This record gives sequence, C-alpha cells and structure tokens, in this order.
Amino acid sequence: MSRPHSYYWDKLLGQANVALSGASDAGMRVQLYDTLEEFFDGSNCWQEAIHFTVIPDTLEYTLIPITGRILRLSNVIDQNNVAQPAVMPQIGTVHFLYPYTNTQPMTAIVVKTLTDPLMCFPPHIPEWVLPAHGLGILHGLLGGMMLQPGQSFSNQTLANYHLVKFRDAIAKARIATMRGNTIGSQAWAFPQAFRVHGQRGGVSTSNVNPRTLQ
Amino acid sequence: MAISASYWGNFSDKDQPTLNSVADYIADARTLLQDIIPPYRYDDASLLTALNITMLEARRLRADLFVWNLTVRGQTQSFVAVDDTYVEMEPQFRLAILHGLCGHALERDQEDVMNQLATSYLNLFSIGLVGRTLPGMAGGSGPGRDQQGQGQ
Repeated sequence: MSRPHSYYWDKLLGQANVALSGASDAGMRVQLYDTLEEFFDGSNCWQEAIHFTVIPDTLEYTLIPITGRILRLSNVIDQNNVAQPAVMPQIGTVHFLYPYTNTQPMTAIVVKTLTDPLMCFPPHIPEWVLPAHGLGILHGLLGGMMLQPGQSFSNQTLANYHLVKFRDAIAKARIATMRGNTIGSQAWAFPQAFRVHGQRGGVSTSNVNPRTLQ
Repeated sequence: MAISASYWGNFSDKDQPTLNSVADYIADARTLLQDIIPPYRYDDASLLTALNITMLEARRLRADLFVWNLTVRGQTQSFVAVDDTYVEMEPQFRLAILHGLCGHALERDQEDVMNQLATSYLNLFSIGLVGRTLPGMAGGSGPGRDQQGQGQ
C-alpha cells in the first residue's frame, strides 16, 4: 500500500479515535469492517470486470475476482459490448440463460465487497474509495460505534445523525456508480430503442460500454 | 535534545513497553500499594490472583478487548508467575487493569480507609473500561467499630 493511501486511513481512524473516547482498537476495526461491507453492498461502487471464455453448450462459469468477494452480478457483455442475459443464482458462478454455439470471449462485471475480517488491517479495498467516500465511511463507523449500548462512547442522538449521513453517502455512491461518475447523465445510454435486452430474463441493465474497473 | 530510544509510531500493541508484562503490572501495583520493600505485605501469589481476577472482570465488562483478539480468541489470560509474559491488553486500557489489580488487592484489608481506597481503585478500573463507576463497598465493622465503621 502506498504511503499516501495510508494517510487516508490515518485520518479516518484518527478522527474516529478522537470522537470515540474509550473505544477499543479491536472494536473499531470490526465496526469498520461492517461499515465498509454495508457501504459496498448498498452502493455497488466496487466492481470488477472479469474476462472469461464461453464454450458451446456450457451454461455456467465460475468467476474468480482478483481481490475481494463477489456480491452480485452487474452485467455480462460479449466481445461486441452487447449485454447478454445471465444470472448469478450461486454467488461466484455466472449462469447464462441460453447456451452458445461458438467459443467467444465474455466479460462479467461483478459487484464486490471486502474479505478477511480481523485478519487484514487496513482492509484491502481499492485506493480510490477513501479519497472519494472517506467522510461517509467515517460517519458509518461513528454511528455504528455510538449505537452500542452501555459504553463510554454511546450516544443515541449522535448515532442517528451519523447513520443518516452514512445512508446519504451510500445513496450518493450508488447514484454516482450508476451514472458512471458523470454529472447530469442518465443511468442508461441514449437512445433506449437500441437496447438489445431488457431486464426480463436476466441482468442486462446497462448498455454503456464497459469502463476500466478495479 | 534527548536521544534515548522511545516508543512511538505505528507499532503493534506488544511493542508498547509501558505495562507490557506481568512483572510490569505487579511492580507498578506494588508502587501504588506502597509495598515495594520485602517482606511484602501482598505476596506475588495474591497480586497474581488480583491480576487474573481483574482480567476476568475486564472480559465481562469489555468483551471487545478479548473476543476479537486473534491471539486469545475470546479467552481470558491467566498468569501463574511474575515474569515477562505479555499481558494481551490494548495500551489505552492498561491503566484500568492496573487500577483493578490494586483495587482487588486492597479489598482483602479490613480497615475502612482501605475499603475506601479499594473502592476508589475499582471505580478507576470501571471508569477506564466503561466510563462509569461501580457501587462503593460498605465500611467494615472491626473491633470497636459499628456497622458504618465509626469508632464507638
């Protein structure tokens, strides 16, 4: 991990330490893990494009992300950037609704979350997360800690405040992800008449060309 | 400018030398208890028992200090000798453990002043862990004293 990224961790955990007098490091790390997991689960902002090859008469393919754990399938596109009908009934395995007759490359875009609670600190998350969403994650950490009863840092009122801000941060991250981190664009690409597949029969909610994902 | 080595930085808890080992706790407890010259008023065995019981009480009050420690995995350490065995405790809570140790050691004394002192230490212990005090101990009723510990 590069040093500048660790500064973001230092800032976040330092601010949490100042506000949470009497909190244990272990407790904060566990709460941070839960906060990040909720953030990634709600925002879908951590995605990875996994390339694989489709072969004839095979419907299921196992996807292995480079880092993190797959939460759900966002999209599957073929070599022409056309969305393909596929689902993920079992986490980590993409299932096509129809078999293909020829071998061809495909790209699955999956939503991910972090792994290794307790074992890894700081958690392995993309380096852009804290600079972009660190304040919202701090709100989630503070709110979760202050919600614990009977502690010196318990504060129901402040917990509600921080958790509302955290929910807001999740929503903003989700919208930003949906709009490809652009201003004023729609979640879908114009014109909609050119959409190849709808959501019926599988996930194909995006016909935007895949961008570089981490 | 001082050039002696000192602890600082992002090291693990084990690298923090203050109140690091069992011997550190016992030595500092003897200082607080004014029991540093042999023969000791509180022998090593009784202070070890006090430390072990304090750890058990800390486990009850602050389970998060134990259950997420991958070394102890929710178990409570128990010590059998005054040596350099590391006491698994985050640095910011070590003073509370020390106060709990002293409080438990003082509980065995019958003098009222010791009861008050024990209560003070136990309060410091609970404040250090959970931010609030425990109920105080009642005064003893030794020879020549009533139930409130007053002289007759």
